Amino acid sequence: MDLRKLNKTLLLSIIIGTLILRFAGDSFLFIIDKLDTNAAIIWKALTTIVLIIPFYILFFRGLKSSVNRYSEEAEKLFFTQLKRISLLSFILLVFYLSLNYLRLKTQITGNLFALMISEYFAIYSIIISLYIIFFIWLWLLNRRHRRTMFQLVILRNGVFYFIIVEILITLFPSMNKPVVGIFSTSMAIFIGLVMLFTAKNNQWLALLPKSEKIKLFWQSLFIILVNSFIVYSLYLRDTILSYSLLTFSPGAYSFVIIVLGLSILYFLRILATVITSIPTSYIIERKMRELSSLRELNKVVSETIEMNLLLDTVVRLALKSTKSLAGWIELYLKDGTTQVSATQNLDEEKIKILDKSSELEKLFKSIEKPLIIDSILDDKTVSNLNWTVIPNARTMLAVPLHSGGVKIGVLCVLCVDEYGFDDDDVKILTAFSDNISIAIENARLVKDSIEKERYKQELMLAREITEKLLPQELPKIENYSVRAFSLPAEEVGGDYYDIVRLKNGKPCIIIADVSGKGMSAAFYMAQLKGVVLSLARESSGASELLKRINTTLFKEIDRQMYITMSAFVIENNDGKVSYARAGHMPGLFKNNGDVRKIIPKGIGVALAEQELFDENIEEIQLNFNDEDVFLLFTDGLNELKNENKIDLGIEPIAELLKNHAKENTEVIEEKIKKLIKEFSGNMYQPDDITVVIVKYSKSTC
Amino acid sequence: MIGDNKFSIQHKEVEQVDCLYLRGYLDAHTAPVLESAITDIIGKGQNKILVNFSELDYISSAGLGVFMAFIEDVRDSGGDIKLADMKPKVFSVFDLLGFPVLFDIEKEEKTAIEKFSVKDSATRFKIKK
Repeated sequence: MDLRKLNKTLLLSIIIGTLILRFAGDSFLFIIDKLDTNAAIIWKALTTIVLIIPFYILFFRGLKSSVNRYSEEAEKLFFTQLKRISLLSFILLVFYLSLNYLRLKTQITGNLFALMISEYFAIYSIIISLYIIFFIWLWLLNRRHRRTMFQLVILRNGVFYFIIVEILITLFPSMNKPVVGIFSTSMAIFIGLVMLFTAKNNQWLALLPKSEKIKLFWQSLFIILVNSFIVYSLYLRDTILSYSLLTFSPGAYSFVIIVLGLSILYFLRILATVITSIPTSYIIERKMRELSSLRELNKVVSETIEMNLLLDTVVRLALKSTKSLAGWIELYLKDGTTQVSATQNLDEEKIKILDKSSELEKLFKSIEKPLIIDSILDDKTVSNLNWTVIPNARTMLAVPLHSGGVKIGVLCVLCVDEYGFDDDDVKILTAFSDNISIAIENARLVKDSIEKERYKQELMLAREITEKLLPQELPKIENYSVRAFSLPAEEVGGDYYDIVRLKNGKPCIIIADVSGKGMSAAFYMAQLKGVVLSLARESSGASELLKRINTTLFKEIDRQMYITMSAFVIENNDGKVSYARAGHMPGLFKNNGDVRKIIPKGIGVALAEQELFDENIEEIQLNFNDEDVFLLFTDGLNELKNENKIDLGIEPIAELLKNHAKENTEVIEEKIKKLIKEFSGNMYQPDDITVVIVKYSKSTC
Repeated sequence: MIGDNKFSIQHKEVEQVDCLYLRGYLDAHTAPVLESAITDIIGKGQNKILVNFSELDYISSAGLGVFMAFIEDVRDSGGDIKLADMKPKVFSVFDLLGFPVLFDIEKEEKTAIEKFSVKDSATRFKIKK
């Protein structure tokens, strides 16, 4: 049968029914004067058991829906139940005293009304005992330790056997009294010892706030006194209570006396713990406060990116845990200025007035360890500050804040008492400052990563734009086949290629590499395209175009930037070309069976002024034969690295050209791409690679 | 990656010429080191700078840009930046770009230092922005 499913009303009706039945039976027995017979005793025992069982169920099923361990609700419930016990015990006491005053005892045997009152009294004391044992059980279980369960089982069985023994004594008065007496007494002592041992684990009481401890102290003391009084009067046997219980049912007397005895022990233990912990309450409360502040701070640190909010929280918690009057944080900015970043019970204006001469700021900047000034009015280092803005401040504690090993600011709090701060305050504020350092570091990392992400997106955008600056399709030139490709590195680069028409209509192939990487290179490349397109229309030869470009760009480009480029003009359909180079990589010319580096003289664009540049540029005429190939490329190709950081160099490219010149340009392009891929493997490509392949094939028609 | 190879500079003064001894890889990542070394020298009012490349393994376009950034100012003040003792591979980079026309590039440090005492040795290089 599931105890939990039993209806409360059903249980209550069983109780009331049994009570009525019991009184009816007792009245009947009283009237026929058979109250002292064995049959009457059995009747009493049976009805008592039927009466107790519903109470037992009512109380102890509460154990199963157990209270959450160490929750605040649990503490609240503990105190509610404690209050209830105090009240019930008090009523019992009043009940007892008034009955005693009425001298009811002498009237029980001769008066039906007195009998009933005494039975009520007995039932009431049994219910209280049941409730107390429930209470003790619940809280021993709730604050259990490793052996609690085992000890509770011993306790329960002990109580049970103790009651059985007592019942046997009542039923068989002829038993050897001294032996049984010694047995039951030693049993009681044993149970008491187990109780004391089980109730040992009540250190949690030490963590209660002082006010609750005092409350607990008075309540336990009250319960102990009342219960001791009752137990003592029970022990005397010649009292109304013992008489009521003894006549009520066998075992009732021993049950009540053992439970009340156990409760005295239990509350004595509580009392002892409370008494010993009251003097240290201040420290414990303070530690709890510090702990909760740190916990809150940690939460804020891990959740907040917003720096100002974080610093505000820090100062607020610093005040709370050091019981300070006011406080603030100063941060040292990169430009060397100091900024008041968070205040509590103060404002920036007041701090400015306080520290008009910046003496405090200098003092703060000089400290590497926490600084306590026990009396700000007497200490010469700060006594001449304008303390009238914070008239109540007497003590100052300042803790430096660090981030990445660098001092970034100060957390300062003020207290109303002279010598108001101690070691613990310093410790807790140091812990705070460590936390702030973490928070600041976090915030910085988040900011960095956001910026990095933004920069990355901008680079992507820039790359898309620069890719669009390259020709999507190359114009067709009779007898020539031109193919080009550009492989951007991870960063935006400044490679450029194009085919433009010169003034005289001749096609001119351009390849260029803007020095450096990143955004600036990309912008110069965009600028270069415009310059090339417009100057091509005014130029009629390769070197002339490059000269004009240099003249135009020389003054436009940053000193440390320059552009290397080549111009390759197809002069006619019979294989005549001209080639000029401005600091660019050599061209590779596969002519007949050989591959030669073609390096006409020439300075990079924007490195030298017009005169010097023009003096030093050379233009070379070349004649293509059938199946000749010319390769233009940027240094990203020959400076490509393999896993051993060795450059690809020019030789493998020349070799490739030699072996595959007979193939069409599409195949040559694939071969070069394959070479790049196989050589670099999984290595990162450090620079843009741009290749232009020009092949001459004499038309057969 | 290229940045793995460290770059370092040793600074020595020989006969009133500030000699910078470069070592390792000079690229976009390490160029600022060289930049600040030259800025320091100029900041002290010196304008005779010799850069020794004997231990330099690699130079990228950003590395070359450093010399371009300072040469004009240095020459305006009557001094020069001379380059010496390059490995063939490093020299070919300078050469392709046309630097021999722009800079005094010497095979040996000694001859370069001697040239500092010849007046107006830099006038034949016409770079002006």
